[in-house]
Amino acid sequence: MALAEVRELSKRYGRRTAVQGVDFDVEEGSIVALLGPNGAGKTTTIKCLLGLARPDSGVVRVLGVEVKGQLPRDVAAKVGYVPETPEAPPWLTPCELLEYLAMMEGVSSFEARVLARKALALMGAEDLCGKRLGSLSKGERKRVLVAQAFLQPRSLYVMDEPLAGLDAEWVAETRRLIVSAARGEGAGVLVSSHLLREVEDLADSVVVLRQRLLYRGPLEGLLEALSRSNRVVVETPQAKEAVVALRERGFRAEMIGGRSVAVYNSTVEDVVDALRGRVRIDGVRVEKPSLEEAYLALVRGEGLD
Amino acid sequence: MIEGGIRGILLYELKRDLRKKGIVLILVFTALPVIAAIAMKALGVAVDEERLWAVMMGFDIGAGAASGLVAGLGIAGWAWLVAVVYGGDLLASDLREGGYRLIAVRPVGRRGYAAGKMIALAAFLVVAFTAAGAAVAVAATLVGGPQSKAWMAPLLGALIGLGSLQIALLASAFGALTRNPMTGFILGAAVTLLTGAAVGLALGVVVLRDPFSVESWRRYYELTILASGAIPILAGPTLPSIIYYLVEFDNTFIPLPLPLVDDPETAASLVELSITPAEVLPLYAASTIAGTLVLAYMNYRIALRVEA
Repeated sequence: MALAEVRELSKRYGRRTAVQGVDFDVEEGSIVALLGPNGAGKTTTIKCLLGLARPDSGVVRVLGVEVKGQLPRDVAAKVGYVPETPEAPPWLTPCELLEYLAMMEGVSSFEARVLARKALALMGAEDLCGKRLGSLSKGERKRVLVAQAFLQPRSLYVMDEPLAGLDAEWVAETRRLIVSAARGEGAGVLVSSHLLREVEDLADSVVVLRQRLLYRGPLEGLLEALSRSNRVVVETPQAKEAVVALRERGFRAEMIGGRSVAVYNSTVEDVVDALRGRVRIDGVRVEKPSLEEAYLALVRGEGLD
Repeated sequence: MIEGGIRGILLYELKRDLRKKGIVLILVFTALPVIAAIAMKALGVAVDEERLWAVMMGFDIGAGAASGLVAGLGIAGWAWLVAVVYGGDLLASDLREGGYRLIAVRPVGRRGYAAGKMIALAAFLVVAFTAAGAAVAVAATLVGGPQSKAWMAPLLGALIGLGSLQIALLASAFGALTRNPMTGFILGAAVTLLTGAAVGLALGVVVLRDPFSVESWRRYYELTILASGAIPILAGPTLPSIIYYLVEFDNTFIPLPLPLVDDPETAASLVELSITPAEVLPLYAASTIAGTLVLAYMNYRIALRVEA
């Protein structure tokens, strides 16, 4: 069953398109990675999913209920959310924040106190309990924000860059919590990141965004497609002119340093042919980009073959 | 469930109110008239001893310049400042500091959030000004001896808190629309002060054609009272003083000074008003209630529509 459904989602801020025509599902027990560079529309997509922003068009459903303006009350209790930036009310302590948030979910103040401490313990933040959030480091606040999503068992977790700003120990712990929520409790998890390596051993499926949907499907499919990528690197003193010439001929080319041009998913013969008579070529070689480089090429617009 | 949710919002907001630096402002402003009254007494300067509490509340200018100085520091005079300080970031701080997005996705929802925040702010202002009024009543009794109807001080203090709520809500709307607490504070303060100044100035130009005439001043004062009553952000903080005149002075306004009149025939330095507190009380009450409701609704709509 799809716990979250996004259909033809589009959202603009003024004249800027944040996302356009985005479609994906988050199924029970699955971890879906929402990938894309900064400004790709990941946070906007998540905000629309949670009713924190209004889509211009398209439909968003959470636990089968269409989200219009805000999450319906009975749905909201079953959704855990980790915001992207580690901002939290600085006048409260982590214990107070989690206690009040739990009360806003309808539990008694006694139970809220217990839940708050248990959730903070998940992220090793018990010792931060009595300190003001305003006095904590960004990483500590992020741990608190991850903890608040786990105040109660949820059917769906929506996490906007949950690993950003955490140190290695808490990255591992957060990953463990995510896997345990999906595999152990059967919850759906949508986790956004701008780095493939952050999610490549975590996600079952991937949604790659750059305003539009670039890829949607199993992680293996993306990794396989990326692993097929190659790039032809041309050494030339006229790198700028070479990029222009290649792009005019429809190649996906970019400068990598002052005297090198990378051309994605092409052959040496085609590249040399396109540059012949236009620029001086000092050398040509074929490289196998790393997965991360291939992913970056994808999200920069070079796309997959 | 809703009650539990709103309780969470109330605690969240009250904690913010109590931990804001604005609480120092309340303590300082409460202490100021008390200190001034003690200083006057110590210096042997005459103050209105029987109604010292009303002077310290800022309702009554008492007798003489010394009383006027204490009244100038009175609680009613700075209520607007506390209101804009607390209102400016009512919603804006949560939008800026991440509280809103954590709360809006919870079952209490945006409606509960908006309602809870405003209820908490109203409760805080009422309690803070009630306490300030009670402190003034005690201090006035200690400094000036037995007081006339000092029991009114905490009650009218509560009313000052409630009356200034709309100024807080005005500042809150500015703060939320600009997502900037400081802008909310500045715009709320500017609109409040400029509205008061504009009423005084406009009526001065229109009514005070002959500033040396007693009748012109009477009309000026009466129209100022009526115009202020019709403008909610001016009516709210003034409403308690209207009640004070109604109860303490048998439904008459105290005679007001005539700054420029030097009439050898009448030798008048004060003018008595022909309107009574009871006549303007319904206007002030209706204006305060209507203004509070309209501004509360505006804030509610903003909280429902704003994107985190």
